[in-house]
Amino acid sequence: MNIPPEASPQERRRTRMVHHVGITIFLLILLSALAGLLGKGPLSKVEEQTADATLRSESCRFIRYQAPMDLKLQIAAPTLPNGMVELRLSKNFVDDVEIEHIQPEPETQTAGPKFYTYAIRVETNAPSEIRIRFAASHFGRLNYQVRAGEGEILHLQHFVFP
Amino acid sequence: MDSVLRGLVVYFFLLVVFRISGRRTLSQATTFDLVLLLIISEVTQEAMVDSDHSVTNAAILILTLVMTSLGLSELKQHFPRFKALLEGSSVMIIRHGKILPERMNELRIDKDEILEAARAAHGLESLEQIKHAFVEPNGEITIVPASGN
Repeated sequence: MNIPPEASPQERRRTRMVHHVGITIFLLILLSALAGLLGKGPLSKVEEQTADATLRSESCRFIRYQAPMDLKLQIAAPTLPNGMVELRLSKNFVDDVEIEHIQPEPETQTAGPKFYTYAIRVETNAPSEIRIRFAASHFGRLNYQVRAGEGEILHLQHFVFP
Repeated sequence: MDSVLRGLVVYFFLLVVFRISGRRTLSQATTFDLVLLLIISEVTQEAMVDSDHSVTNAAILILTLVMTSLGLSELKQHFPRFKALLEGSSVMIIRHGKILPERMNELRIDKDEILEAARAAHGLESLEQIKHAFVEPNGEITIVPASGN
């Protein structure tokens, strides 16, 4: 009768250690995911605003490749007559992501040397919320700028997981 | 965060559904059951992945399911009552050669299925050759042949 060779005590100890280390790593990954370090979650949520508070943003620090992500912008007041807001998104942002939709829908869109400009009709004399749903097309850092009309520039960044 | 929560919700929902629907749903009895399981797996995948098809999301979901399964295995090992709650226990359907019809009805099993299991495992030809028969927690039917078989 051929009995397969038994694992030595050192091999069994090594196997147990690999098992424990692996389980610990998996648990840490899951806790990180729950906390929002690998995508949406409490530690990922970030709110930023310009120094003059005319433009505020709410987004996630960590996003995932080609997963939909909402960028919420709050503009303090219309920047154009007739209740229109001019929203400017830096060119690298528009080129590096797929914008699924902008809510409210822009009435016009123009391309400039550094920014794409969207004219959006909003409620007059009240802070307006604009929601941009996009999906990142590349891994790694995503740095871009947002501007309401001629106001201050808001610098935003995300890290895109594969 | 939502990936982990979605994975957990779907996992436990499926656990409860299959636990309540009965053990025979788990064992591959007919083509219909196989089709049902295939459709459920497709629907489950859509619910868990949603619109996030990134590698990171897939890895998190896989880890969530595997670690939940491991965690439940540990609990089952340390708490036998939890194991019975989660998986159920073996149910005897033939005792000392006598069929227990109320249990067979409860588990939705007929004599043909018992004979099929007896033929497959031991080459038995009739119910008289069976001493005991059980339905296991995974839905399979196990046979203890009568002496001399």
